Amino acid sequence: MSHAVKGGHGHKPVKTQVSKITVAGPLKEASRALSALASAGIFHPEEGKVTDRGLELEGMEDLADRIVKLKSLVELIGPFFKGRRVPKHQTLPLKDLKQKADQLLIKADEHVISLLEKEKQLNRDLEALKEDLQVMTNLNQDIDLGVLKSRNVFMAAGKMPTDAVKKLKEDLVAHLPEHVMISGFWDEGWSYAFIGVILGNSDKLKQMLDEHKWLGIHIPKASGKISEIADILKAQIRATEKVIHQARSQLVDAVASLYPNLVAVLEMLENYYRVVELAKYARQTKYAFFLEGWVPKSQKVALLKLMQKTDGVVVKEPEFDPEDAPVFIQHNKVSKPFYSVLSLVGPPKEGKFDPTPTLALTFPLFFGMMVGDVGYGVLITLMALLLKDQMNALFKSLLGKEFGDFSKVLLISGITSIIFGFLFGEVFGNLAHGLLRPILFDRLEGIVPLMVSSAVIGVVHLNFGLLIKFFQELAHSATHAILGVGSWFLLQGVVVLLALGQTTPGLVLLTISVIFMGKFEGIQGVLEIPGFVSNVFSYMRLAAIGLASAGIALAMNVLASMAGAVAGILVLILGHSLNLVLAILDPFIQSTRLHLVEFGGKFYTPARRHYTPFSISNKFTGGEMIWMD
Amino acid sequence: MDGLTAIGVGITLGLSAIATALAESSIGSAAIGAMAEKEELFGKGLVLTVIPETIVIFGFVIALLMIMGV
Repeated sequence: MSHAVKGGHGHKPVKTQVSKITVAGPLKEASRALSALASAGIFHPEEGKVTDRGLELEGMEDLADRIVKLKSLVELIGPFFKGRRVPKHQTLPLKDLKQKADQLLIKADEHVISLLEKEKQLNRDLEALKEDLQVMTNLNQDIDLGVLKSRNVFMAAGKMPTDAVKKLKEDLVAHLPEHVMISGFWDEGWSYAFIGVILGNSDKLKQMLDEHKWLGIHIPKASGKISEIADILKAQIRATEKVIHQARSQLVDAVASLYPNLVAVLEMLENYYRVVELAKYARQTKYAFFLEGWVPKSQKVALLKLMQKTDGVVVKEPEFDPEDAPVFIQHNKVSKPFYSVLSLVGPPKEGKFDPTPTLALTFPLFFGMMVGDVGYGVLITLMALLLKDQMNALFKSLLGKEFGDFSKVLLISGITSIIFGFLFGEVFGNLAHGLLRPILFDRLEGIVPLMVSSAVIGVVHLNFGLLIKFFQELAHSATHAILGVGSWFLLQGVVVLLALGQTTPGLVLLTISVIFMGKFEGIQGVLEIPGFVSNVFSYMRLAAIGLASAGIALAMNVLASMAGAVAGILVLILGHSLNLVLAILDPFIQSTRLHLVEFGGKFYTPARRHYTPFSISNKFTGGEMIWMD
Repeated sequence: MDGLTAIGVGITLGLSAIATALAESSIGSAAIGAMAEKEELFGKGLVLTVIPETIVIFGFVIALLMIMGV
């Protein structure tokens, strides 16, 4: 079911988009009601009520056990089911489903597992035959192996370093003149040999072999001339390969008939189990159940209708504190990926501004300024385009589901890096020196303008944060907004006046602004004045990180020019790859930090939680869940 | 730039980097501990861990001012 709900925007404060509801009903209807809630995918159960002892649903026992078994089976045979679609299955009643799962497990054991085992055994046999053939192929004499295997002979088979073979042969001639030794090449630096001595000399031979770094190998079972054994082995290998091929097609056929049912039944079982998990949020008395949660306001009617279908179930809408409600926000296509940065600390609180759209502008700007290199910018852009899925998966696994579309942030940031690259005249550091002239200035030579522009960007960004705070406060109290938040702007006016040499008006303004700040922002506000200065300094990381990146690139280019042609290219590739990784990681972390700590610190208050509806999977199945007959 | 200034620049940058490293090591290990309990705290941990980096930025700015002879 779709749950499109309009959410907060950057221009307006966030408003509660969800309603609190409580669902209560007779205990015997609990499984039906909870199944409907889970299937609808719009209900966010109230957290903090989960205990080990929630509502117990009839028939929930043995579900987990069957799921584990089916899951491992699906993982085992999944690789043999390729390129076919699984048709949609109608969800079975729980009782039938359990039976069906058991039947499938038995069927899999009889038909598929046995074939899998057979194929595994055949592959093991094939490996053994190939090993025997290798042993038989490279020997320097074509003797009858049966001689070495006769009753009065002790035979050793093993490998050793090739340079030790000659010494072993000499020792054998010297100490055990009655011996047979045939040897051959094993692989790089290693040879192997079969050595036969009369039975009484076996200990002496073993002792000698130990001194020659001898490693025993498998002795082929076959007897007869070595060349004949090799021919027989080749024929056996061909025959085994044929059998394996047949076994594989039998296995693929068996899997094809079993797998679709298996994944569908697994999904059904997992969906029933999801309802068991939802039940953990519920409470029960002797005859009734009770569950609290949240739905988007626009979906409330749909949920009420859904619950009406269940006998005796009542839905109430209790009063709630908007600050306590989970936050549900939707963004437009462009700004949505940038919400991931904010999600690191939480969604914006009720009544506060959602700065996501502004992040879409300033995040890539800061990122680009720190990277500031056409070469790295192009590579980041290409990576964001070509390795989109892999990068999304990586960021999602590290930082959470909100980062599932982070490649878009990298794409835009890559483009801004290219633009700044042209402004600073950098392509992999100074590689295009002379060809590409900086439009603004060279970063390594123009450190002062770089630092100053970072500080200016900082002042503008911080003031933008203060401006958001001003409008946020304006909604509650105009006096507080104008005199409290406004005193921060006054203070900056003081700095300008003092810089212009207007000491008296400057000091008067300073006194006024400190008084207002103390009154409206409290002593904390006054203490934060040095904090504002340190925040401005903090923006100098835009220059510092950029300089470090340009410095590393320059160092790699100098190193490469000192090395030869081949080594130079290697140094360039390795060095710039390392710097590229840093050029993605560090600007990301630092830009995130500037937005969350310095900028966000001025006005942003994160809420406790997101709206995350409880849902089930409908990939292979559909229809209602039926718990009892 | 004379020798003493150069030593001063080195000490400024070096000590502020050590200070950042010490602060980040404690925050980082605490963040890893929190993550072990609750995996979704990775993002918050990351942001908290880089907070002391401002110290080395201060060091960097002062070092630059010293180099420029301000």
